[in-house]
Amino acid sequence: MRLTPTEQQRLVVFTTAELARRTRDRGLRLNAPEATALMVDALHWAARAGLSHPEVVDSGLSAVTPDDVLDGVADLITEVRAEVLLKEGTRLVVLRDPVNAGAVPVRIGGVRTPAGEIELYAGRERVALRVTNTSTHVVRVSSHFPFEQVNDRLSFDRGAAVGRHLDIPAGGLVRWGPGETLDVTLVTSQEGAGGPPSPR
Amino acid sequence: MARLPRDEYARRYGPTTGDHVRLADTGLEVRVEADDVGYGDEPLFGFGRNLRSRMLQADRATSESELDFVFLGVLLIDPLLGVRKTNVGVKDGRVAAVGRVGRGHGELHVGPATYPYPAHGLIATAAGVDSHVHLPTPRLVPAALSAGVTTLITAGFEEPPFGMTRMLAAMETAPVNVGLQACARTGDPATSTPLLAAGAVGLKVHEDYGAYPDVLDAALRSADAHDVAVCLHTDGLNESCEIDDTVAAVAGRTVHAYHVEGSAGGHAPDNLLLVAQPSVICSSTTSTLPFTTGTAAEHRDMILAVHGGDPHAPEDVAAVDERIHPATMAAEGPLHELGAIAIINSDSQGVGRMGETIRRTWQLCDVMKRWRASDAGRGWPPGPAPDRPRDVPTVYGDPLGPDDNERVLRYLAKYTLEPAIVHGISHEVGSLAPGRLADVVLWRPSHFGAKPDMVYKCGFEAWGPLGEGNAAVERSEPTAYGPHWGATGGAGALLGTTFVSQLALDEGIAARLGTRRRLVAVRGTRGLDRGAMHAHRTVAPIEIDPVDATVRLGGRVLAVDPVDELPLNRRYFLA
Repeated sequence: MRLTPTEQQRLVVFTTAELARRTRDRGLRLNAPEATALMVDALHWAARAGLSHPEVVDSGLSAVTPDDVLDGVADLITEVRAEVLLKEGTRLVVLRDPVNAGAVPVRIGGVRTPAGEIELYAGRERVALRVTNTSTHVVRVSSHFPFEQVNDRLSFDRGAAVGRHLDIPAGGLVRWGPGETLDVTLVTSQEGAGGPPSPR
Repeated sequence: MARLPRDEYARRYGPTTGDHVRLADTGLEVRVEADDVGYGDEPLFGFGRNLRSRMLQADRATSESELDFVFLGVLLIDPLLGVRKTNVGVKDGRVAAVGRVGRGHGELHVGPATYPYPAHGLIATAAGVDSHVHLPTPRLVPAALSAGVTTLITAGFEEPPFGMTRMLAAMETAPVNVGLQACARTGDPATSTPLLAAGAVGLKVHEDYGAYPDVLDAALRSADAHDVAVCLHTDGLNESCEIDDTVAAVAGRTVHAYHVEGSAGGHAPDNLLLVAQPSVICSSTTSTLPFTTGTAAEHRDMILAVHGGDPHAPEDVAAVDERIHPATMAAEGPLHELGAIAIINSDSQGVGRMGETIRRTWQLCDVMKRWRASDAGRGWPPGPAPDRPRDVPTVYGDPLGPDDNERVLRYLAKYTLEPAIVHGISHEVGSLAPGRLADVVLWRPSHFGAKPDMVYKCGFEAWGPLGEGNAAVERSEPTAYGPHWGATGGAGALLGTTFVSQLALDEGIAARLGTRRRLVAVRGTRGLDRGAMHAHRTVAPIEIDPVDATVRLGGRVLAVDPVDELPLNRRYFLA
């Protein structure tokens, strides 16, 4: 057989899925490992049958219904990753919220937040700038990049940008298409940041 | 002006001050008390993110200030630091600082060689300290790591020195901190000296080797001479002494009373009276917590099995039956809730389960919250507040309702800080306050207490649910708990600590073992009483009915009804 470690892992999925099927056959509801195995097993069978990538995803998503699982198990399975052997080779499949049980009051491990908003960069000075992309390429700028140092092909008042970055949530991006002009707001950078590395 | 709705903020960066997080499928909710991260300047690693040069990376961090690892945007739940959203910086295997990432003085410096662990939306706790484990086989260590435990103090029985030396050699590359206790078995303190010199971290007095008053006294005298802990399993036969005699032998000296409830061993039926002794720090094992409908039934066979009883010998069975008392089992949980029993440990394969110390602690926490709202639980005094800086006042009129922070921090301490204090290792483990080892467990809130997201030893990934090796991404199914790099090859020796007595260090144990592991002497174990505990300073002058073992405190029956269903249970685990 010359089973590789990957092939041996397929047997772990199969065995766990078989346990899940027998659990279900006895009229019992599935726990999180069983439900996950059943989905992944369905992915492998769909791939084996020659279905396409989107069809494989669908078979995973339809493998387990909210009625199949113990109350709350849907909250434990937020994302399932597995690799299947399609006719075209090995491909990754990701299932998100694969047992969608709909809205519940407080999900298992859920976060409750009071009403309201969080103010970002509170109390810092802002400036408004008009920025034009003179490039033939799309240019994206992320939240904390020191704005006066961005790609020369963005045209704006660089003097006004010194010590500032985009006034958008951390990790966000602003996109300029070729020739596009956008009005943006800049905010003063965190002390010590922005510009070249600060001496300590 | 950039703003985000609070729910969207929590989704992107994890919960912040004032948000509530439900712990797994329990009825427990913590409230985030503070947020050190800084709104807008959340450090993020990855494509288009801000942990790069010219942004939040400290390009000129010094060799002193540059962190090795940093846990980003994590919800830290810690006995000493409370419930706070923060970043946890690690250097040289220890927590170097907790707080804001930046380039200024006093901020966490993510330098050009710092490795970031994005942890937004995850919970971090200190790894568990299991202060009562039997390690009959190597199979127990994976069970401990898979449950989030990285420190193991054995239950005694590690003598002779020949065996102890080989046991320590066997643990050479285990990515855990370990301390081996040896049994004190005579009334002469001198007999335990060679055991301490050979590496014993503490002494155990156990009825299977005679828990006589003179043996206990000798163990305590030896412990006082060498600054090590003493653990006590009292005389369950009442053969040499009764509870009053044991208390007299303790004579106000510090001792850690194992499975104080009594059914796992000790004076029948009133071992639990030790909760009234200020110098006796009490612990419970996983077998009796929480009290459920099957607890009593399980114990007969369990006790016969672990103590060499003969199930066909009527006198053995009768002796076992007389140490099983549902009434003291019913009082054990409430005594935890009131802060009189400080510690939960496994007693692995000595009637307890290695992988369930943490899980059962949170199950108990959930059960006891409900007990407080029941007729039997109403009106008792609150447990002592965790002893920590009160920089975050309780919120009255919280729009989201009351939180469980104090209770959660107390129960967390039961398997982290409290056992670390008692065993003289709180300078190393039991909290993620700066200076301690960065033995960190990350949890998804949905799986908190049941299945860790990753276990870090000294900040290095050691154990977790690893995915298939050929896959293009991590955590492709089937995922299963197993060794990460920190538990592979020789890494464990560079990550694990072996706790010993100062005497062993002085006698040259390092050279004798030829170990690459850190050898650290325990300290500060003597002269402790309840007042030295973090969140368990209650001395409970209970009374126990000599016939049916009913427990009363202030004349009122102290008991919780057995429950028949628990959280952190069948949703999570194959059965």
